[in-house]
Amino acid sequence: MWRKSIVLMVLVLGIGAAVSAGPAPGGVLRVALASEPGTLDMQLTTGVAASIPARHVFEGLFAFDENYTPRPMLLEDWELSADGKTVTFYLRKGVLFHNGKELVAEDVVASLERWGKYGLTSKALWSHVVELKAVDDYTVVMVLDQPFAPLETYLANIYGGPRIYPKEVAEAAGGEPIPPEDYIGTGPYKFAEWKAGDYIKLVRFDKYSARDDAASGYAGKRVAYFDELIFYFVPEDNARLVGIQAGTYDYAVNIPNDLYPNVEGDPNIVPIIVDHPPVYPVALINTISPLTGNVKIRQAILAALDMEPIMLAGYGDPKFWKLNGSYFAPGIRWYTTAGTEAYDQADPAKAKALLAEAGYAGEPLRIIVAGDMTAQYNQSLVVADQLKKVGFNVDLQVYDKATLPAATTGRTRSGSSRSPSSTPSPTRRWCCR
Amino acid sequence: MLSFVVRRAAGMVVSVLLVVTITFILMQLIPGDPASVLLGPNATPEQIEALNRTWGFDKPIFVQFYKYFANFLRGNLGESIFFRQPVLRIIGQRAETSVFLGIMALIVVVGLGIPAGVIAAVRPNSWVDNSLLLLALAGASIPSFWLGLMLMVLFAGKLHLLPSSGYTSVIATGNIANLKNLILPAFALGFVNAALVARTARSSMLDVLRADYITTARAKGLRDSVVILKHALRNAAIPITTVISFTFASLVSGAVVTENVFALPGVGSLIVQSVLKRDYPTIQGIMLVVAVLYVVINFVTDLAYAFLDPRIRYR
Repeated sequence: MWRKSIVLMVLVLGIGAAVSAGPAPGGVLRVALASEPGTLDMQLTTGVAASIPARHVFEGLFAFDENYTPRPMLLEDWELSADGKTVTFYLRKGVLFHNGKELVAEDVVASLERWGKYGLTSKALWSHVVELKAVDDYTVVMVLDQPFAPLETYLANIYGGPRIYPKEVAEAAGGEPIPPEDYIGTGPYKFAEWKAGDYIKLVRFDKYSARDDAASGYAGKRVAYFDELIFYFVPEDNARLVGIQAGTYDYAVNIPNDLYPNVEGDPNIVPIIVDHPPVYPVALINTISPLTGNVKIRQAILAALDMEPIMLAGYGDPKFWKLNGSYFAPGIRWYTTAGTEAYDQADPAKAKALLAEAGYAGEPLRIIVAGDMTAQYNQSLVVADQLKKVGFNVDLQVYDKATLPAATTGRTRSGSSRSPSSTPSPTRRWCCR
Repeated sequence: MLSFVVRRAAGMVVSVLLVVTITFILMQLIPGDPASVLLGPNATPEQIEALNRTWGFDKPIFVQFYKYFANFLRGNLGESIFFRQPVLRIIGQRAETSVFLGIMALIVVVGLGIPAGVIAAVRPNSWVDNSLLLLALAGASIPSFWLGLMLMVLFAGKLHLLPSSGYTSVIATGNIANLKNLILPAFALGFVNAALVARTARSSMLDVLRADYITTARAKGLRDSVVILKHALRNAAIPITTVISFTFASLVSGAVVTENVFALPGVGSLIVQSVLKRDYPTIQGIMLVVAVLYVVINFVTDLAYAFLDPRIRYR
């Protein structure tokens, strides 16, 4: 099941003018975000709201191109030894941090070490890192105890991923989020101001050292056209939409699907249905609970679910989603249909038979969901209903987003519903606690 | 009078201390913790525990409370976990929006509520009275967020007369025109609260208008306007003042929904964000400031009674 999201843009120039003149530097882009991030220290947060401004400030050794294939970003080149265990990174020369210092190997080592120790998505890679050292100012060597295939993906990932900070910033922060005054990166925009509850302001970094290769996705040459980017925190969905109509903002994200008709056909607004990469809702099943530890029970759940009503409940009009059991979209190098036959069976008879086979005696199946995540909450109601119909004794428990992690770490729960991280690697798909 | 002031001041201190303690206990009862909110769903329990340890949330609750209370007595409300700034500074930054919004909403409340109540009371059970009562009922029933959204769609989205959301500091920029960002939210907030004031004003005025001295005043041949505004309204003012003063306190501290709808960086939206992020020091700080605001307004209202009605003598 893939769902798409909507972003809106105001046409600032007439179309003809835009085509003939091409983009020119200048102006302020006012973006309406749906929430205020906790921090822009991407090593310590997986928040999408944080990543939107942070992408312009911080960079990694690699970045994803439009097909979600990792390409070198801060690297000139890199090489892997024949046994796959020694990685040598060659940094680009003359890349400046926003504080004016040149990026050198010891910054990379300090940043990666901090990430390895505290970063949210470092564990699988870092457990194999034996040694990390700066050979000279522009060369870093990483020694692994065994080859690690998704290495570049891990290093390109922004969500809880290894952004590169100056050595002194990485060392001073330790396991705590970096304070805003130390937001120093190598990106095309530098951090200017965070007005709590209001906005984050970035200004163009004039000494940005752009790559020469063509832009593709997050990779390649990055050009900062706007003088300033201001990210406003506008939690109310309608306020973001009306803000675009009123000209208060130029760009708004996370417009609810049911508000789409309000902007369709408006000559001043460009609605964009974002479907790349597709994201999808997931119910994680607890395999260590006595009930769902039983594979027959899990198969019964899969057999019972009918995906179309579930998606309609969550996302409405089918132009905003499509059914697909694959983890990755066509075009992404990991795309495969293997294993999708268990998806969307909608076979209650089979589910009942599996339940009988499992010896199910009406033990409560607890589903936990965040009530403030509207789509997932609506979907959980349909899921609960479908499961009840095949004989499950469903206990739907509703929490708020902040309480959900505490509720899921109890390890006795039977399942949870949330969106997975959208990092395109099979190993990063479901992170295990 | 002096002993009254002293006793009330002592009572204020007790109230504030109680609020500090109760807020602290309540915070501990909510499940969830700041580290797991900040680190997100992919963090391991070890990472969450480590960050909570850095912030001192692993200590026994008594130790945490003692530390908090000791700091509080020194006037230090601690540092916000998420903003990494002193709590008082953050509240100070947000206070401007809330105070201006509160004052502008209060203008709407008083400007609509009192005239509506007085007019309705002067012509009881007339069509004017009935329509004003109906309007007041609608005002009390309409949720302010819905009214806010409708105003936003109409005045910002369709007519392009006013900005849809956001607010830039008047004090920092010196640009008084920024106040136009607060017109829609102030009206949305004020209209709903004006209904309450109108109803209180009406019933209070009706009581007074039946009094003998009003009949006497009319018999003396005084003009209606003098009888109503000078003789009646002043005597009806006490309950109205009570309602208005508490309305103001709630306008400043409790415009949570309206601030969220209009993306205003005020104290109300700070409360919501801090609770959702489990930013304990900030929540405690806001609760304290709000408690102080309420007791101060309460105190000032008591003094205002004595001013409005010289018959009131406090023991």
